[in-house]
Amino acid sequence: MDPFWLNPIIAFFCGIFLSFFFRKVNARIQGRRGPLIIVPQSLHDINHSKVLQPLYDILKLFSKKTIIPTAARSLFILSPVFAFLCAFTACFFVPVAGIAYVYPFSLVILFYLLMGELLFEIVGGIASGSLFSVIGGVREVELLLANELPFILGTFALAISYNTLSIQEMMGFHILTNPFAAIALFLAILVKLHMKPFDISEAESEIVSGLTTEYNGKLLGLLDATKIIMLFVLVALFAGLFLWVPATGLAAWFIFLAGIGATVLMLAIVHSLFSRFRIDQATRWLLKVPLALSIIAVILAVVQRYVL
Amino acid sequence: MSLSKIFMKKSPWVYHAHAGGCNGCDLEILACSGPRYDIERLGIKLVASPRFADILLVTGPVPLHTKPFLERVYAQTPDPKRVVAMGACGCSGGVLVDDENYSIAGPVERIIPVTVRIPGCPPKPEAIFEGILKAMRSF
Repeated sequence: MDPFWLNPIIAFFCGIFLSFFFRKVNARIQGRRGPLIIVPQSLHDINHSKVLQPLYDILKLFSKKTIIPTAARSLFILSPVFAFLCAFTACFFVPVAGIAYVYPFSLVILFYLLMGELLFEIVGGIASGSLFSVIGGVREVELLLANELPFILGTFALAISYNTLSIQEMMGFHILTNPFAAIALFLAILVKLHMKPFDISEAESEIVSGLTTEYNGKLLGLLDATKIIMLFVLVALFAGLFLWVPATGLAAWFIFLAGIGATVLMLAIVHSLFSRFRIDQATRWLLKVPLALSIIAVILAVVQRYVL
Repeated sequence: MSLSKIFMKKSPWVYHAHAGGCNGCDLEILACSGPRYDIERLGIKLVASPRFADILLVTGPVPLHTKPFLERVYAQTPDPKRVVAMGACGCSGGVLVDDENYSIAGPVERIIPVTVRIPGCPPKPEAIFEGILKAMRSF
């Protein structure tokens, strides 16, 4: 039996390195250094290397006190926990170097878990009683509604061409056979991870931090850990569906790591090159371009399967 | 040294609390996160809300009408926290030092406890960096 129960641990630690890589690429494109890999001698009392910076951030947040606002309801405390549990469970269904919980409908389960994570984040933000969180929540719901269609259609194109709903059975190097689905899913991942053209719901210069405005201390640490696991889950889903060459053992790990590295590189380049959409522009654009691409992808899959 | 202090030192998040300054210091803080000085090299991050912050970087002489807000920002920052008073105004009141000034509630240290002061009008980015490092090491 495959050791799929190791997936969340791999997801967390891989996610930390991916997050570091993301920050580094982002900084290099902007002409900065980013978190240093080797810290100079004079600062060795602080740290020797900043590669684990996202982990330090999370551990620091867990070692701080937590302030609960008086206006907050009990869901303010509960929903980060549920969001973390959703992301944690999603790790079992996403193939890590080909290893995942074998279940014939894993794609559908993954959809609901990814959506559940965002929904709990929205519920927690709105329960905090801050107006910034409410504005962020409204924007997030709008993005979620506009984004689910291309995300689901893009992955269902592969489900149609393989006649299965299990992620493991539809893995492959599909960026060549169905590039439209790859682009649609890539854009959907950008929205789900709140990256630059679509970071409308946590726009720092407009609404402080959107849904997470009132979170601090341990609850913010939990949300950060959720974010890191979500980054890994979505990137691994993309790498598994579009950048995977069937292999076993060490070769599988090599291909998997190369795939997730390439995906994060692309995400970081897009994140650093674009500025933010307005919410109306974003929803209109999402319902225009990625939706059209995903419908083309579905038509292509149908043609490949039933006509050719 | 307890475990939490080690992690506090490794990832300080800075909130810039603007308390009636003239924007000179603010521009130097922006220069800090630019390509030349880049505070992200050491994992320091400028955050948008005092809820996320470990270090408050206060600029300006704190006018009377800003005083309650500064106190509230300090209360909203979760413990452990440090305050860095920045610029001549933040350290001592600067050109607004006169005790009979009707609109100034005094330098930052009269309102909230200050750990590190960064003098200069405005301080150079190197000085800001050094001040944040001192506050980091004091955790």
